[in-house]
Amino acid sequence: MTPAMIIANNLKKTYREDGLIVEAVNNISLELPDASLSVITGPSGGGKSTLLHLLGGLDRPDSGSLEVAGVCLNQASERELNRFRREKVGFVFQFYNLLPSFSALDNICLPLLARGDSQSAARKLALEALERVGLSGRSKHRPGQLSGGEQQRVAIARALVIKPQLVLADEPTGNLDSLAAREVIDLVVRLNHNEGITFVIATHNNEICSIASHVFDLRDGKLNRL
Amino acid sequence: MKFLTAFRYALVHIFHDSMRTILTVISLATIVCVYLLSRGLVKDLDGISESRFNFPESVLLVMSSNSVFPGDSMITMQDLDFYLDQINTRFGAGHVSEVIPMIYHQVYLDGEAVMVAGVSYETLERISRVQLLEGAWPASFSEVIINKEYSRVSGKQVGDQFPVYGREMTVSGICESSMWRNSAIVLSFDQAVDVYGYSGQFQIGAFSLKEDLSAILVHDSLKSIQKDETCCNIYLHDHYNQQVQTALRGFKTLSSIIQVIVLLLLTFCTYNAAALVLAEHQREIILLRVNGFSVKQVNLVLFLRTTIVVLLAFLIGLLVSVLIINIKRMGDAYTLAGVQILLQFEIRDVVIGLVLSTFLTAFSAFVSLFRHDPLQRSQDLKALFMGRVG
Repeated sequence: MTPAMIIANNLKKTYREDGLIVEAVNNISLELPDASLSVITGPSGGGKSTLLHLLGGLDRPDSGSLEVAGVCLNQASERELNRFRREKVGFVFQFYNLLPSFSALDNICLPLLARGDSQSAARKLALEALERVGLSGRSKHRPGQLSGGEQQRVAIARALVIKPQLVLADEPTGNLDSLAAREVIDLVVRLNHNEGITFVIATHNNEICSIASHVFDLRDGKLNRL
Repeated sequence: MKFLTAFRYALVHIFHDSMRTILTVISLATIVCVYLLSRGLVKDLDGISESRFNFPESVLLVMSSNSVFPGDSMITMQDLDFYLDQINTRFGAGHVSEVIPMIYHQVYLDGEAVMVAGVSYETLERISRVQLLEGAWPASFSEVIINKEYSRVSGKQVGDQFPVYGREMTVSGICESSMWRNSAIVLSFDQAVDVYGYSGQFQIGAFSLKEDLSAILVHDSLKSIQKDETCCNIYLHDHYNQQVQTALRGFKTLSSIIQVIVLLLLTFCTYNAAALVLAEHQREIILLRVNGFSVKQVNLVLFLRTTIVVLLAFLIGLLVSVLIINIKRMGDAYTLAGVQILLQFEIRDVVIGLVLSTFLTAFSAFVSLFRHDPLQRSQDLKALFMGRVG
């Protein structure tokens, strides 16, 4: 039996917005196996991003238990959460979020430098990651000199460079044209199939839904398996 | 993250944000410049406060009422006659043993501000306690004595010749006196009258009273003379010294206040620079945190970035200060009480400023980030997931 990458029980997360209490994640329980490709769909404001924050150790649940890649996130200290983000999980965002002052290669180096790698070791690994996403020739380009699709692939390379067990992606194709989106989807599928990286993707893209092993609908903080 | 990596990151960031960095550096450099020059001013004022008249208690000084320092005073023999008449009228004739006019001028010799005093040598020796260290008192109109400080600064020794107002003078002796802590050349009054071309005006007058009349009594009586009767003030010499000290204390207090304000400004600007970086690059910092950077690591980068900016500003401020001092030196430097205001600070002032700046930078970076860790705010995270970094 495939071991579970994510085990969540009765997760709850509320926050205040304009004086109102929003139940972004309401009593969610789920178990996702290692090397799976899961998709979370649902309307904007339904709680998708909040759930990704919780899964990535960026935020803590109000109640419930959450274990990701063997780390109990609801009980982890700040130091353990830093380490978890550094070693176990990669993030991909809709708007790529690359640092404009740095080259593609330097952007990919960031997570490695955070964990204490030397500049030369980080560059070597970053070049390998760029190669994996098919952009080895664009290492010295700055984000502004790359197309949207290329920037997203650099962002994926940045997420992959630490060899994470889990990649969390929030609308990774949301800002791309169909051709670039297709390239990103192919890349995700290849990484999932060939390298066994677990993906959890929040998206409205039907194409990604069709290739996912697990599809969930999240609305009003409630998660339903489709 | 290794220190060098953080340093490189901070450098790249500074170059990318060059316009804002330049503006910050200019404002901080200006503050550093004001700090260093005000330190120099305090040092100059210290030099002035060391100079004081050293007369016996039986001597009364007369100076024009609108001046604090001797070089600014302008009185005539009529003014001294007026006071002499008053003393004779109020206390009877024969109590004044000597009336001493003194000329105080300032000249620039080889870029050095030098006080030229014209006063009878006999008075100097007998009343002002001027001590001759080397050589002899001048025997002719072409001889002068110089004080120890001027000998040190100019390297002039007994027997050397140099021009004063176009007259070739020979150093006959080197003296020491508390009246001239800075460079001074001393001529006899008659010699000074000859050199300057006497116009009936001089700077200070002194009355030496006989022992049978108290100078304090005379002073108390004459100080009540109405201003419209004379444009002068009469002082007991220690009162005069006190007045100078009070005036200087005021200047020094002002300079100290300026320094405190400047340090507060430096703190504020450094904090502002760190806080601005934090505010402007909030998303970038969240991104670093998302990628596993700890608060300490982000703090290190922010600290290094601000430190580089502050050190650069300090270096530029230091260079500009040195430039200002040298430009001022090339022209006629401003002088106060015969002392050149060189604004020259010491290495110690630079070190103190540097240590304070670095400390304030560390403090500012720490406080800026301590106030809120972006990862603790879900709105900031939301902003990162919804928007672009930059």
